[in-house]
Amino acid sequence: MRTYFRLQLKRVWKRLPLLLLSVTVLTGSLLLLLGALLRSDAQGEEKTRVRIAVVGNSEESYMEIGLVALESIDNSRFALDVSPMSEAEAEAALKKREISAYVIFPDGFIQDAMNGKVKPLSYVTYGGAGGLTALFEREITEVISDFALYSQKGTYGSSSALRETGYPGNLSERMNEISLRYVSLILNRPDWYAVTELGISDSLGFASSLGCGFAVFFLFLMTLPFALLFGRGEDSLGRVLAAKGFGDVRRTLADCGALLTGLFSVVLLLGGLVWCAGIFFEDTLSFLPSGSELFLLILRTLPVLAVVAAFGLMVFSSAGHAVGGILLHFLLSLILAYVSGCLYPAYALPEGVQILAEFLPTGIARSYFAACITGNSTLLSGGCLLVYGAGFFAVTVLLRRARRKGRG
Amino acid sequence: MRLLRWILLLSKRLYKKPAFLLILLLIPLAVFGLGSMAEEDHGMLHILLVQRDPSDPLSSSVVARLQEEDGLIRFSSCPSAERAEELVRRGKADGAWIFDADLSRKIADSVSRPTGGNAFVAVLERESTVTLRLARERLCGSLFECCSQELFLDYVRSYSEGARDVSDEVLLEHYRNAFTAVEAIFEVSYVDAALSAAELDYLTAPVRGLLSVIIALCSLAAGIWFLQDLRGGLFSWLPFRRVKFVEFGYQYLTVLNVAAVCLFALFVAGLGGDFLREFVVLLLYCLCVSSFGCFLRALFGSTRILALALPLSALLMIGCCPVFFSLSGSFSVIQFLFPPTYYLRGLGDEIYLLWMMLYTVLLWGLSRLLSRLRHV
Repeated sequence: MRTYFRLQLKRVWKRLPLLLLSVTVLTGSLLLLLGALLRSDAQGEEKTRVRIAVVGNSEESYMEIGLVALESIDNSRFALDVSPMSEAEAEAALKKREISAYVIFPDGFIQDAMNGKVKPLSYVTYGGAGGLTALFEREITEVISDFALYSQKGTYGSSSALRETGYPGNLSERMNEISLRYVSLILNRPDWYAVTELGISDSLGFASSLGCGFAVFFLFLMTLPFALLFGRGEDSLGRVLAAKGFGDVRRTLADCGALLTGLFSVVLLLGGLVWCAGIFFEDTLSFLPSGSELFLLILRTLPVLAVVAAFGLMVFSSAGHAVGGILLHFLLSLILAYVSGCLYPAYALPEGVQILAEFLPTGIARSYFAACITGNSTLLSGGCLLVYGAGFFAVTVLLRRARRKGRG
Repeated sequence: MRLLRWILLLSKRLYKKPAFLLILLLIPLAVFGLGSMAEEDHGMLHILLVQRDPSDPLSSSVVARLQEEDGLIRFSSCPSAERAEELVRRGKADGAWIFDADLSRKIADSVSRPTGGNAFVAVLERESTVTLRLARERLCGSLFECCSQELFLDYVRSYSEGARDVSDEVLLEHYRNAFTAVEAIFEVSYVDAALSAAELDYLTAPVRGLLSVIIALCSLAAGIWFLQDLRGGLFSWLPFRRVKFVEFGYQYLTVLNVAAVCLFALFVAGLGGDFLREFVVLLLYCLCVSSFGCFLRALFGSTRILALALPLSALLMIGCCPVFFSLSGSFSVIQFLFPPTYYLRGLGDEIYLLWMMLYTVLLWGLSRLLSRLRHV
């Protein structure tokens, strides 16, 4: 059996440059995806503004004050950038995604409001594909709508109340003044609450927990290029080996060992590249761990790699074909990653799914990585991973045996 | 009749592949599972709401209103500030909002003497993130009505002597009657098709995009299967000019099978919109991804490279196309290299369907050109 293992290992190492290249491109693609996901969180740091166009006569004083107030909402860091446009220009800009939305002020809006006949403002946005960005913008819009609605209620309501209670002075001046008070109220809203940051202590923050999830997803996807070596339905080879007294268990063990070695080699090479990058770009990549820490971290990925190898072999064996194996593996990895909180932070999932995620291999692997980073005990999750690995291994043996006997 | 025989024979080849059948089975199961998952209580952030005095009417109404809301933030109430702090520390929640007792009075004090240091809500957070800052805006939004009313009362009474003898309720009638014609100041409309409720949920929002990526991947897989059949001599009796059409048919049939299952899954999970529109757009998309598959097949011409391109293109499509996030800025052009962008945008805006057709024709032409060059 050693000869078979050596042969498989030789095949893996012979194709290692191509595998490494594909894994590097895979890493790049995944980093792009992670970057896109984290960018939404970092948007605030860059103070990306939600660009909104205003159509119609917005230059009437009270509305102008309201808009200026909204425009200067910087605490949310989702600040507004309001620019006047014609309706056609605004529509074209919206379709080109140059603006997030445009607001149409109907003619005589303020005059009507003064007479108590208020027409709502049309807030035109795009409803189609926008992903989570669109959902974030929608949340912000609701808050802005509340600010605008209640401050306008107060402004116009005060005029009516002052008139009714016999105020003798200039109502117009009072409305201007209360408008400014509302602006001040909106701007000073951080005074309403006192924030205490407790810290993340022995658990992970948003970026780190998402990073752990993506690392697991990445390791699962890393098996895909190996499908070309292990995903072929070589039933005849299995039959020949069985005839020579090498059963499916030993064959699968050799395949699994070779795949694990291949995966570990790629991780080691990638780690080496990261380490070299850390040396050459010391200032930019100062957050990277030192050489020994990195090596220790790579060593610690071994239980995850064992599960990944066993899982990959199981899926490739069930597909019986490299291409089908890749498709099936990708789909299964995506589903597992989605449900285990690898693509979203785990807490974003419903409670029932969070519990389920703790028992899935991807969920356990995520917890294992988190424990590695926070320095908590990894014994339990590491043990669970190996149990899963053994389970996948057993299923692979059964699948291979069934296929060999079915065609034998 | 001849066409039907071709369809039957090619379908038979597809259904003989266990992986293909498994994929057809897994797609509806996964989409349905996600649909059910989204029905459970969830949120991008988990915020605990604590009332220092549970009998306080204002904090009770704010807490009740927040818990009723659907959105990116999941709110749940917590009996005590200590318990909330423990849960936040343990990472079971991202933050806690602790509302002071006698909230109305504290708000009134803060509004009439805006000197700072009059906070009436204690916010506990694990770490400072933009999403948590966004959450704080929701907190302000929920308290703003009350703050606005207190400011209104304070202002009117400070200027009108007559108002000082009038009760809050009577004065607030003026406040409530202003802008009564509208529920919200903004009437939201869409320049394209509006999102359905399920698509507004962040858990199910990327599902359509992911399905479109899977359809595109199946087209690539079909390209590999075709190449293997071609090299196996299955189509050697056909003249070269017909092989290209058979290849397209091979791809189209494969993606059509997957697309039909995806459409079924979308409607079962309640993510589907207007059936006719979805159907037509999906048919066009199948043409588009078939061309895409033909083009990549002609470009690489090797099963090995195509197989390696499968996972890479999947990740690139997920990262660049508007599946989870829309790319903005100069990088956004990259998304138009991949078919899912046209499908996802085309569902809401017809102009993208025209672009999709143009893209299909262009790729088809390029694939023919490349095939001819390789053949020569």
